[in-house]
Amino acid sequence: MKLGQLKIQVQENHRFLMPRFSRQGQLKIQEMAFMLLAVVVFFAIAGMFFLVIMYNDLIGSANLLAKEKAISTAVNIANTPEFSCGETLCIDADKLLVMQNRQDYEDFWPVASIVVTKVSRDKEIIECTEKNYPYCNYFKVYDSGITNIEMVETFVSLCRKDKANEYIYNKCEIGKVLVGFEKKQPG
Amino acid sequence: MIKTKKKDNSRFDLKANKKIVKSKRSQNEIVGFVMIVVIVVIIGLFLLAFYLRKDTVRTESQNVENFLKASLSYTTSCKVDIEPLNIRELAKRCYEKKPCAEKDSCVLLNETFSELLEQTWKINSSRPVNYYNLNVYYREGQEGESGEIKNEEMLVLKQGNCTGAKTGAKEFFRHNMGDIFLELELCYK
Repeated sequence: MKLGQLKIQVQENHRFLMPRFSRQGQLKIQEMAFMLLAVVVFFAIAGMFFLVIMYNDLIGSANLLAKEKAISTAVNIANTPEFSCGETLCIDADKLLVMQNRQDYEDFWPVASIVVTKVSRDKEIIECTEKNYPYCNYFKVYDSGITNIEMVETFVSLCRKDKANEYIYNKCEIGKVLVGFEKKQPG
Repeated sequence: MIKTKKKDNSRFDLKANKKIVKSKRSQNEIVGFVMIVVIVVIIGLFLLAFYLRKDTVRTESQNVENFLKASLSYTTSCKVDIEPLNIRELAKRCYEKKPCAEKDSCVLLNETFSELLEQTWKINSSRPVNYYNLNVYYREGQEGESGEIKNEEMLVLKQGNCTGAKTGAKEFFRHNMGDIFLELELCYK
């Protein structure tokens, strides 16, 4: 072999080495692409997780708002002149006795049912009538007959006139107003 | 021999150097990657902790507030003249350290509230409420205002162990120069 030929061969060899460097570059680009893909997938999963949490929170907030609205309706019903003892969140038990099962008020209440109970140690439910009042703990004020209802309750002051040594005073206990709302069918 | 040795050495050195440079680079890359992973995990944990904490943050409950409002009118067994006093009047007497027909009005307030809470928020394993804390106190003056803030504890009633979500409400009424506060905290399963 001549020296000139060798030189050419060396030069040719150098040329042949070029694709090896570009293969390395390709590998690096591939590495970077995989890394970018992994990062995108990771952030996509994280974002989806965050969205699911947010969505659950939104449903929870909507339910909470609906419940608060229902409680407000119950409070408004308790504050109507038909039930109120004159103060806010105070129901006159004597009025309740009169208002029980009155047909005239059927279209008046914006709810499916209204029940008032006395909070006491008694486990037994004793429905109030003219005969057993005040030794009872359950007033069934209104029932529309709808069976598919959801009950919402809130606390009120349940007052009645009582007598002590010929002196008449307001005796107040803790009561619960249970208001039934018709369950809305989805769709 | 020497020539070949030299050649061998130079070749070997080059390869070794290249290997060292490569392994150093990859080590750096691995360290960077691990650091990123660690940072992301820490941020994730922080967000998760923050989100879980949000659930137990006290939310004012309308029902608890209504209970406190209704309880103020509750007729107690304390009779000063002929008419029995309600909790509002009894709390005022308790603050003024006035007795209630030879009985300590604060003891009577304690008994009345204990009975009320027991009836309303029964605490046992089958009920959703597992803890309550009622705090009745007198406060005179407000934060941010000039002058002294007077805080006087009147009654603390606690029962159960708090696990789960916390809820509560505050109610107050005017008395003398300040207010009497009723603060009730509940824990739900």
